[in-house]
Amino acid sequence: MLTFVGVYFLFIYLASLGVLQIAASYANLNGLSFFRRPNWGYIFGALSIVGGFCWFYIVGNPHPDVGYAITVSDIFRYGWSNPMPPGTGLILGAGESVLFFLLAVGCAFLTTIAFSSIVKFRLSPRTTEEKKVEAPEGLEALREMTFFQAITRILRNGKGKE
Amino acid sequence: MDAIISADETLFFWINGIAGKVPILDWLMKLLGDDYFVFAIMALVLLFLWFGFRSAAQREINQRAVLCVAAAVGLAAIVIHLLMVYGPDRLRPSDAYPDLVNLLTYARSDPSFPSESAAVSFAFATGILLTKRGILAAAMFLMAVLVCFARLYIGVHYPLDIVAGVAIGILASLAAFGILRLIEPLPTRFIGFMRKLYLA
Repeated sequence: MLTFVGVYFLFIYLASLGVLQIAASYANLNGLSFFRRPNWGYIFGALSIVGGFCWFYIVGNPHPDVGYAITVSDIFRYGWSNPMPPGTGLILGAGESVLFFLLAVGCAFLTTIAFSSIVKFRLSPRTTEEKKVEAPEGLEALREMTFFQAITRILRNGKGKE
Repeated sequence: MDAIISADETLFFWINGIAGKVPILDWLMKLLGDDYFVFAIMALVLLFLWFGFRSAAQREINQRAVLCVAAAVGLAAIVIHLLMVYGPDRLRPSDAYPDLVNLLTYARSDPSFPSESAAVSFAFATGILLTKRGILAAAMFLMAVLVCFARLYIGVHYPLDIVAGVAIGILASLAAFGILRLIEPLPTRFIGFMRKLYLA
């Protein structure tokens, strides 16, 4: 059961990672991008999306002749094993598809903020005091700082108020 | 009613009769009519809309579009599931006519009426149309129409299931659009809260 869920999860994870890199490049969100040049973000994003789809449609066999819709309780009950008779393909129901889609997107976002924060840890050349005054709110702030730097700013401002 | 059902089945067999003759068309329709392909693309478009903007005005429109579509899809899914439980338990074409249908995918066990795929894809497209318009809305509508046709082609729905699904999808989007306006400033506050966490 978990094998098919894992294949689907990786598909959405790779595709989301690609979409996030394309969006970061398009919106100039340097703090979310893995690359200095936006073009690399577009290339990585396109490859990641295509790779995700190819992975799922080549490895996942989403068009079986006989399908069994996996439920969340099946996953807990059977884990990695597949008790279905040979020839029965596994599929995901609507609810399970949405659940694992959201989980995969969440993981892709966490990967994006963690990796971009590591590779761009020296992104903002300005001082902390300047950042407090000038940096905009929301995602726009990620044009000049990484997500971790932005979160640190929240924590520092919070402490400053105390 | 019998005349409508008869016309519905005639149209179904006419479209489904094309299946199995052109392998490349079968492959394309299987892809468009499956449970993942178009819906993954549509959901990834929403992810792009949330993060991909160049101006504050564009961000505002995009993120409201995402909220509207998410609400619309949620509403459509609830209505579909209620209709599947309490509505007419119409057999899938492949169950009703096992020897006549060209089934290009696995047999489903849930009721045929209404089509969840049609409802969800049209909820996506209408939600984008109501909030954003432009080429993206046109592309979403094209994808939604292709999904609906593909579901007939691969033999999992009757045309009437699709029409009901489309109606539910469009109505769910209109309702979601209205509800989001009605509960304003909640959506604005939600986006504002997300902005404080650098997530919007």
